[in-house]
Amino acid sequence: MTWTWFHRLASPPHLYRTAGRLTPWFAWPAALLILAGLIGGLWLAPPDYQQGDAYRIMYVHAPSAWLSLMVYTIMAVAGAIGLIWRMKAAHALAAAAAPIGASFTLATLVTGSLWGKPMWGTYWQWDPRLTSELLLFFLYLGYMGLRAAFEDLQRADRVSAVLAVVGVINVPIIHYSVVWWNSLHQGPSVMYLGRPTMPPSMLVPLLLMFLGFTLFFGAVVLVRLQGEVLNRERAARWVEEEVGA
Amino acid sequence: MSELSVVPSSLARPERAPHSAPGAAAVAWMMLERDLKLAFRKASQLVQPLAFFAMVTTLFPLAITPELTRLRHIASGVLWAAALLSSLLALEFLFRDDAQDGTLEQYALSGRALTGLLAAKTAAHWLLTGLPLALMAPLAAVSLGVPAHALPGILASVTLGTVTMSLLGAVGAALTLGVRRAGALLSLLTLPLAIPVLIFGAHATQLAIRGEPYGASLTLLAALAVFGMTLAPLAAAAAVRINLE
Amino acid sequence: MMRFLDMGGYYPWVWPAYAVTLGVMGLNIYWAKRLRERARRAALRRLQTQEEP
Repeated sequence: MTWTWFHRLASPPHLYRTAGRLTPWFAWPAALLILAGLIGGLWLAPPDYQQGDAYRIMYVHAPSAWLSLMVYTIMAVAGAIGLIWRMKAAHALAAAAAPIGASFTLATLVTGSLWGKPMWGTYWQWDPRLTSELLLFFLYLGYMGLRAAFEDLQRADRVSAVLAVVGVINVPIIHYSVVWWNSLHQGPSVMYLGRPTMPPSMLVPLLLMFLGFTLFFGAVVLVRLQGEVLNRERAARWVEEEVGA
Repeated sequence: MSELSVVPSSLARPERAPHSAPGAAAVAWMMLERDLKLAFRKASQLVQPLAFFAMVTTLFPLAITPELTRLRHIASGVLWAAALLSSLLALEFLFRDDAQDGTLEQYALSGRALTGLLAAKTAAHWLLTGLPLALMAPLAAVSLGVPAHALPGILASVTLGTVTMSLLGAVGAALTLGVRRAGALLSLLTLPLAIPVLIFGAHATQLAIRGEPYGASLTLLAALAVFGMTLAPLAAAAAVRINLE
Repeated sequence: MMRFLDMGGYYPWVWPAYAVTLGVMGLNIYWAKRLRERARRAALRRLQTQEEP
């Protein structure tokens, strides 16, 4: 097994160029998948027998929720790698990912509450998943706030990496304590399609959306990564070659 | 003050007398003693969180109702929200003085495990803020119409909960060590992580007020405290090292 | 077409949910490009100030 690709990624010019080259390979498939998912979810999939057409919010809500968790995990893993191997590139990735994750967490909250209004009759219920998502949003805000509080990028990188690792250990504890709390108060959790079998016409658009959102994150994070790599680079020759002229 | 904040000589120069240097536990004990002594010189800092706690619990009867029968229903929430907020108050100063006069740097350079020293500082912090809060919680509970049979449960749950709060707070204080005016950021970092403590603690208190067995919730609180004891000093030490660099 | 837009009567919630999500995606693209552009300009500025002396 060869690790040269991993070591090469740690070199800023190589990472910058690779990120630039890879971006379209994420962006175009993401655009196509999301478009197909939109057509499938909004048009081709039949209405749900219980929720009617309201369930269609799921096609944007569930993939956003998936991204919100996936991005936090990526942030923590990248932070840990950055701390252990003192790898600037990993810190740059964590810095690039955080705002994307936070924005999709917010999207999850808004779409969840828009889904809740017709289902529950109110825009907000202290439903365990929405509550966990809200706390995750606070975790993102704390992470970005801590990052912004330091002038020195290197220090911001490493301190926030510690926070991300502490946070990711706590996310499951927070989630399960919230679920437990909710079970005490018998809150309603009828919003999610709990049925084991979803017909393919409903399921396929959902899978397309999951894949599309994930690739979308990939494309956006690569663009941000290029910026973060440049910000961490002090006047090196390769920057002139790449950015100059 | 100044002569006290100087590092004990055995800490600062372990290479000078390696054979007679005290063990890790002895050093941690010395640290604990020193922190307690220093704190009692500034008694006002000790009293402030307690006064704040009393003040917050007074707000609720004035804002909602003076009827004890109705206050009893919200007593657990009031007590725990007030306890969490008051234990955040003194956090900013947990490592600040030692960082400013260079003491913390000496510890980090002393060749001793920083983890143990920070654990001792956290223990001192708990003895100075957490324990007094726990002792005062039953008094506040009585003022909220809580029956006497619930007071042991409240004492036990707040005692365990404040342990975890001090540990989480130590991580937060270590992360924001390099940040000026970190107060709001510190709360934003610490409170989401403290949600499980709030949930289990408030539930134990509620059960105690109703006269039902609350042992299970206390066990969960104790589990959180033990989990925090094993991991929080490590995270705090990592953050302090980064911030001192 | 009208039936599609009506979403079985759930249009006041379905369409805003899609609009918010697509809006977040659009903002993400815009912010990412802006970040990269600013970083490029800052890097260029650093290079120029270094060459002058």
